[in-house]
Amino acid sequence: MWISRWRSWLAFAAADGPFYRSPCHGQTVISPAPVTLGGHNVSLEPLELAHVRALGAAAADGKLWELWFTAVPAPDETATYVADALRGQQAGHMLPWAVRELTTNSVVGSTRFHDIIPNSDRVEIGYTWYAARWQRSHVNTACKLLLLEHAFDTLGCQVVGLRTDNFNLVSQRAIAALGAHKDGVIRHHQARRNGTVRDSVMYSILRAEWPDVKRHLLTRLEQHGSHMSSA
Amino acid sequence: MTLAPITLHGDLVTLEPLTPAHIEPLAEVGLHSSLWALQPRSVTSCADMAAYVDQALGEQALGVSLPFAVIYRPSGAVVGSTRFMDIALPHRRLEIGATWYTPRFQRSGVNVECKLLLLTHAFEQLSIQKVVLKTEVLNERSRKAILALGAREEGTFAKQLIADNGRKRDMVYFAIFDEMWAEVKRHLRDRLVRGGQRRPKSLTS
Repeated sequence: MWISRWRSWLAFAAADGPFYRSPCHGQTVISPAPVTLGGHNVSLEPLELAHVRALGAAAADGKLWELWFTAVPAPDETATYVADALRGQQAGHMLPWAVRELTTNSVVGSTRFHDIIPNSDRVEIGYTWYAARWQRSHVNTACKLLLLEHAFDTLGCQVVGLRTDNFNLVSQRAIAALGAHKDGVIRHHQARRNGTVRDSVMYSILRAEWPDVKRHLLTRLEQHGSHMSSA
Repeated sequence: MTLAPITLHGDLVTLEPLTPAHIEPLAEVGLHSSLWALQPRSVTSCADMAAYVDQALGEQALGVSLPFAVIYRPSGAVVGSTRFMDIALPHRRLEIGATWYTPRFQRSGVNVECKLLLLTHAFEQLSIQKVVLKTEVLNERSRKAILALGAREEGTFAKQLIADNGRKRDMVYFAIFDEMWAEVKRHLRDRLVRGGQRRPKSLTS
């Protein structure tokens, strides 16, 4: 009896650990793939090298690479930035997009799914930046709506995470204003470009919280729209 | 070793050692009830302010606090108060607290510069290893302000203190450590620059 229990334990331990959910056991996990998302006057296009020049121009509006606590590339770093993002997409843990604003038909920034963990039905939204003139406009609200709809309603995610630098107060306020829950701070977490190491502030939106977040973002889009039409 | 009173000079503010001469100017700007709702005691009259200053100076005499009056340089007006407190030099630790500014000077950049001056002095002159900040769990504004410095939340101590009116106070503690100082300093300087670009001109009169 002791030996058969030992054998059962071996078989159990060999199956990649007790928390692995294999698709073969009849449970589906999320499988994000490059796709164009459109709506609310923006279009999210799968990032490619053809976007390099337009991204460089967008980053130059506000010289966004000068912010020490973000990862926006300097003009001569844009090609490497895009290549790295595409490598992450190849490896399956990242899905990068270029953000196009449709009334001007211009690329205005970039965003991604990242730290994709299919077995947890989890993606994070991040690496998000926009040209200065499009900050505090409808663009981010529209992008977040499209990305969250894709994550929850199309892919079937159970959670969407967001994270930012402890010193990035603008980002923290923006994430909190989505209605995301602040999970906490991970100390000495990730290296910055300048060699220092940041504390990361972590947030999440659970699937059950998505309907309220969606309603809130749609209301915000309406307010942007009415604000613009009264100008 | 006890810390001697010292004046800290900034662009927007001067931090002067608190003295009885500051009682009246502080009473002129400091009797708003909103300032004292989540504090140990209410200050609603000049006599209350005198007692408040008296108590701070008593702590200074014992070596546990170094209180300051906050002077707004463009007008020379006293706009609030702050202090080093719970000074524990053998442990290279002190707290920055008992901070308040008259409502007109809240969200003005004055606090950021005060914190920059106090933290620079603590880390660069006094070799402090840990600067503590604390506030009541209920004090949302203060909690956000402390986090916006780049401080790390350490934890909550329930029923830690009792206010003079018997109210129990749950306190949230934050810390800035010496190894964090370089980035916090950079961040506060950035905030001053960005704030200066945004600030309405009327505040400079």
